[in-house]
Amino acid sequence: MATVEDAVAAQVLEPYPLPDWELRLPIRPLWVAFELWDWIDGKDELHDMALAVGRRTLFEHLEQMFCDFRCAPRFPAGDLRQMMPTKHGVRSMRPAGLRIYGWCPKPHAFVAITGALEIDTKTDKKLNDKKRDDVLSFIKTHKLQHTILKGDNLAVFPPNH
Amino acid sequence: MPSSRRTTDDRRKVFLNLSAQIEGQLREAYDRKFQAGVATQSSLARKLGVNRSAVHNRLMGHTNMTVETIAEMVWALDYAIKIQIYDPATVHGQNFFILPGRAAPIKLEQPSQPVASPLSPFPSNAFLPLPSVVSS
Repeated sequence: MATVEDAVAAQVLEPYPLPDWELRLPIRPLWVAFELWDWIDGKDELHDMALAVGRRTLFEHLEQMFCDFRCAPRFPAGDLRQMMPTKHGVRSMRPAGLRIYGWCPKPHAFVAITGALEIDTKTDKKLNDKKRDDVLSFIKTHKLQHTILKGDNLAVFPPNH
Repeated sequence: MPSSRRTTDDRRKVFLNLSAQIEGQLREAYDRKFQAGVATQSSLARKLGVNRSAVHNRLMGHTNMTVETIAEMVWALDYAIKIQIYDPATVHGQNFFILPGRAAPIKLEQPSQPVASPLSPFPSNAFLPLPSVVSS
């Protein structure tokens, strides 16, 4: 049995570092798997201005959502959804044009493991399931099963927390 | 540090910071109205004469809003807006804007005698440029 902190110590996760232009103070923890950074670096679409939404690249939208998760007093519940079947506790974060998969280890916290382009999830109907299984595989490999917080958005964002 | 995080230049950072502030404040303003039960995305859309999806896209940052659009959103929320453009060298915690690569501070010509503008109670050189803290 391990903890998220053990995974950080083993260098499979890192706390998400806020970009230097973000002036707000963090109020929620967010961990990112190194394989997600590798995926981000390897996907040219994330950095292509031709695919930009609102004059921002998909990576800049992702960065903005990570910043909002860490710093915003309230995080839009629709941007963090449970994946089916909900018994596994895997959730997807939804920045513009992207899907980021992970799980919540406790209220007001998220671990991001892998990602996919939204358009790829529309063309490949099994991609969401594959990514969900990737998250479950990561959790199992690092013995983090007991850290999965299940339940709806009230469990993740309890009103009196 | 992952390579994708090294590519944002200072010019882009100012844009990202500004858009994040605007959208973040719009979302928080909307959330306060929504929690109070006095506004929904549909009611804002009706007030502005646009589709609800347009309001959603503006709140979620999916559009690069014009100044006019920002003002309309603020108006629809019955809020006011205040803009502040400042020298980051004068504010604690803003050092990322004055890293190497930032344009050098503009040196202003000082008139020999302070001259009061007919529209302003302050002399035109009342706001003197501060000494630069950047060491090259």
